[in-house]
Formats: sequence, C-alpha cells, structure tokens
Amino acid sequence: MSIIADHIVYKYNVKTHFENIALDEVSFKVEDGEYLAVIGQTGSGKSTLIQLLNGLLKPDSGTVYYNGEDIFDKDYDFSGLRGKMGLMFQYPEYQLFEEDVFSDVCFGPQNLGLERAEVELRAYEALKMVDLKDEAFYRSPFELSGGEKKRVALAGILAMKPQVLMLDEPTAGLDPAGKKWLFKLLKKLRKERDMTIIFISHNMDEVAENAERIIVMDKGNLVMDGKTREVFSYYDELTGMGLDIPTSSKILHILKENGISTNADPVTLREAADEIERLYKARLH
Amino acid sequence: MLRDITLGQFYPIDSILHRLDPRVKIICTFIYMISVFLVRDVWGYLAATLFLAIMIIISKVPFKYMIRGLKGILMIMILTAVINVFTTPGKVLLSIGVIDITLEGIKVAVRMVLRLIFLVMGSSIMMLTTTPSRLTYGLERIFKPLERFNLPVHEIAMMISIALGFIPILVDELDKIIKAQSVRGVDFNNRKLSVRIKNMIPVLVPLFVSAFRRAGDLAVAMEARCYHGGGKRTGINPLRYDRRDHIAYLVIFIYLSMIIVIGIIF
Ligand SMILES: Nc1ncnc2c1ncn2[C@@H]1O[C@H](COP(=O)(O)OP(=O)(O)OP(=O)(O)O)[C@@H](O)[C@H]1O
Ligand SMILES: [Mg+2]
Repeated sequence: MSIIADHIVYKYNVKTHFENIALDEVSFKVEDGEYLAVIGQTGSGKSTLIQLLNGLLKPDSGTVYYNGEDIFDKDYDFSGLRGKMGLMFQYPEYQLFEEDVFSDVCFGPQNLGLERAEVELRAYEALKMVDLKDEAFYRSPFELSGGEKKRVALAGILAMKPQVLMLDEPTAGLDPAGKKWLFKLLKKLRKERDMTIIFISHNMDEVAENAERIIVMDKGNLVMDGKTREVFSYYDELTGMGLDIPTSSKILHILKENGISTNADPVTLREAADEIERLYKARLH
Repeated sequence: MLRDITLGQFYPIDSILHRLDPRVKIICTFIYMISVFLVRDVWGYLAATLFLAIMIIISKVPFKYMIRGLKGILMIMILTAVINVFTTPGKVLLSIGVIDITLEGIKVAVRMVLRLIFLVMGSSIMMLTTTPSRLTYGLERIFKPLERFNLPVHEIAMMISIALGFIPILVDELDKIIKAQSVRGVDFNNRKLSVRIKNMIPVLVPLFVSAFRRAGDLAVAMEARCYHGGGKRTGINPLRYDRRDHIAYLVIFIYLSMIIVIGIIF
C-alpha cells in the first residue's frame, strides 16, 4: 500500500505564451503510515505536487499510482479516491459554504453516499477531534475566526476518514498554541487511524519536530529525499536554495564554527538542549 | 480549463496595434462596426474581410486566440442562420413540409452570420491588444466631455476598471474553490443537469463570500489612501496622440470612404 509518483511532469498554461513547467520529472514513493514533509522555496512546486498526488491536476506526462493502481487510468474509480485521500488547502474560506458548521462538516461524508446517521456521527467525531466547542456547532462558518475556520475545514476533511491526509501549509495563520495542537492531533491520527501524513511547511522547526522524512523541492525538481536528520545535515545546500535549517541545528552549527566541537547532529529542540547541557558539563570539569 | 475566458484577456506581445493609443483603437473599432452595417454586396464584404485580416496579421496575436471569442456566440450564430433561412420569403429552393428554404433566406443568413463574425472579431482585436486598464482609461477620456452634464464619467470608468481587474482574480478563486470541493467528494464531471445545478451551491457561496470580502478590502485600501474620485485627478501615464495614431485615423477614414464608395457604385 503506497503512493508512487512516477516521473510526473506538470506544466501550467500549456501551449500558450505563459507556459511554465511547475514539475519536471518528479519521482518518489510514500509508504503507508509515513509522516512526510515537503519543503522548498516559494514557487518550487509543492502545492502543485500534492494536487497531482490526489488527482486534482492531471500530469502532462508520468503518472501516480495509489495502492498499485494508476489513478489517471480511464477506468479508475475516482470518487472512491476522494474518500481515501484528504487534502486541506491553505485557505479554509474556499470550502466553507453551509449555513452552520455542523452541516458543513457533514458535506464530505454525505458525498461519499453514507447513511444519514453515519454522516452525523462522523461529523460529530471530527468536530470533537478538532476541539471545537459544542456551542460553535450551529454557528455560521463565516462568523468564525480564521483559526476556527481552519479547524472546521480540517474537520470537514477528517469526517471523510481518509487514509492519506495531505495539508498545504496547515499552520499558516494559527497561533503558537494552535500549531502545537495541530501537530498533536496529526500524531494522534497517525497512531490511532494509521494515517499517512504529508504536509507542506515553510517552518523548519515544525518540520524538524514532527516529520520523519523530508522531500525538498527546488524549481520544479525533487532535489533531496531522505530522513529528517539526514536532510537537515546539508546546511550549505539548503541555504543555497533559499531554505533554512531548524533553529536547534543552527545553534549547534554556530558553536561548531566557533571551535566548540560537538559530535551530534540534533534536529529537535530537545536533542539540542541535551547536547548543549552535555557540552556545558564537559567544560565544567 | 477555466482560463478560456477571453473577456479582458490581454495578449502580451509587442505590435503596432498594441502600441496605439486606446482611444484610437476604441474609435476605430466603433467605426469598423458601423461599416459592417453599411456593406450590402460581395465587394463590401470582401473589403471588410480584407481589412480585418490585415489587422489580425499586424496584431501578431495567434489566430486561435482571435476565434476564441466566436465560440461563445456559436449558438447565437446558428440560431440566427436557421431562423433566417426558414423565414425569409422569396424564391423557393426546397420545401420540407410547411417550411420553405429560399435563396433570399440563405443570402440573408450568410450576411447575418458574417456580420456577427466581423463584430466579435473586431472587438476581440481591440481587447487582445489593449490592457483592460488602458481600455477604460481610453473610454474615460473619450467620454470626458460628458462630465459637463454631471455624468460621473471618472467614477464609472473606475468601476469598470475595477470590475475588469477582478475577473482574473475571481476565475482563479473559482478554480481553487472547485478543487477544494472536489476533495470533499463533489463530482464535477457528472453531466446530469440536476447534479450540476446542485453542485453550483458549494461553489457559488464561497465565491460570493470571497468577492464581497475582496470588494470590502479594496474599498478600505482606497479610502486609506484618501482616494477621492473626480476633481482634478491626473493620470500617471497621460494619453498623448502620436504620429502612428494619426496614421491609424487616416487608415480607418480611407477604409470607411471605400466602403461608402463601394456601396454607392454597386
Ligand atoms: N494556477 C496557476 N497558473 C499558472 N501558474 C501557476 C499556477 N499555480 C502555480 N503556478 C506556477 O507554478 C509554479 C509552482 O507553484 P506552486 O504553487 O506549486 O508553488 P509552491 O511551492 O506551493 O509555492 P508556495 O510556497 O509559495 O506555496 C510557480 O512558478 C507558479 O508561478
Ligand atoms: Mg503552495
């Protein structure tokens, strides 16, 4: 069970004056249950990539296999794919439309053709999962704050119980507590529902803390693909692409540049703190 | 897929037509449209076709962009042709039951369809070679004298240019909304009419909400910069007639005279 991107090429505005290659021969494989982050500069093709993975955009060449089946094949059951692959866009405004929050969350499961009771049960569960207060259930989604809208939008996707959850810059517009909450939820979903999670982010710290694997995009090309720790060890290459490394790695990097030898390559804050503590204790002796 | 909307779709390339003053293009297009209604015979249609062909060539815009506008009125063209073929009295060529196809009918139909094509292609050339903002600025300048009769020309022009500017933005948002709702299981490929109508609601509601929000934001931004219509506002790139603009007027004048002369002779 996996997602395979097989040499996908995608161009915007094909055969016009504005033709623009957004993805150039991108290939990779994501196994079930992986926790993957996609990073890259603005305009590097991240959003385009995840839209191709769930069939919203059709590649100009190459294809995507989901569980071994070509999703762009004529006979492929596209509506079935919708229930299995969830995608949350950056702006929740584009999907909220019902009179109240609860009906809006019901919309997705309803389209899957489920029975009313099942639909409502799933919507209720999803709204509980995103920590929305009961009294907000029957408010208009347009009256909510940006962060609350985002939670409702996420609930709308979760209610469809997808196996793969893709999120395009999910933390944009969330407050620090909201960000923490979101990643806690993703972790829980992965553990309880065995979901595959793919998220796009510009914040290297949250990538370091959460993702297990990273894909780096640069100008439409996949330039790096590896374990989080491994990818973040390429400091010069990443900064060369206009990217960054996590704050924790940066601190240790600065220490190294100043002649304090460290032997670890920490990526999370916890690891960095432990390493600094160790160095400090070593100095005292 | 949604980008096939020609309205306000400027084609960025450098040509003589692109460089002309928008006022010249508006007035010349208007004169061309009038000329289309003056032609009566084969020679007149030939002249109008030739003029249009030359303009298409010197505009350097690919032909397929030109005919895009025609797709939208295909139904109207077919309807016009059919009605005329069947309802014009004259020499009967063929009778099918109660309806007669007449020679006159066919002639009228061909004429009508040609005129429609001329009108649409003529305005397409203007739209494709002029940015919407230059176009409205040109219109504003042409109608400026009407301000003496208390007509808010500047305000109307501003409204039109804002509306035109919003079209590509809304098309973009429509694309995003359709994607967001597809993810939630809406099947936009279903051809059944009832399903298609039902599918409009989850698309139109976010679109309207977003249009209103954007309009509100724009109004606030304009007020924050102390925008105030009318008065003695000056443009950042004021329009000035150049030599080529005078030549363009001369060309259209010669063309119009030719059409009139052909009309008198034949
Ligand atoms: N609808 C569109 N029409 C034309 N070109 C587009 C469209 N969407 C994206 N592009 C172009 O495709 C390229 C990749 O865009 P994409 O949105 O995938 O980048 P991204 O990595 O998600 O960037 P960001 O971090 O800013 O979200 C860019 O060069 C962009 O200009
Ligand atoms: Mg993006």
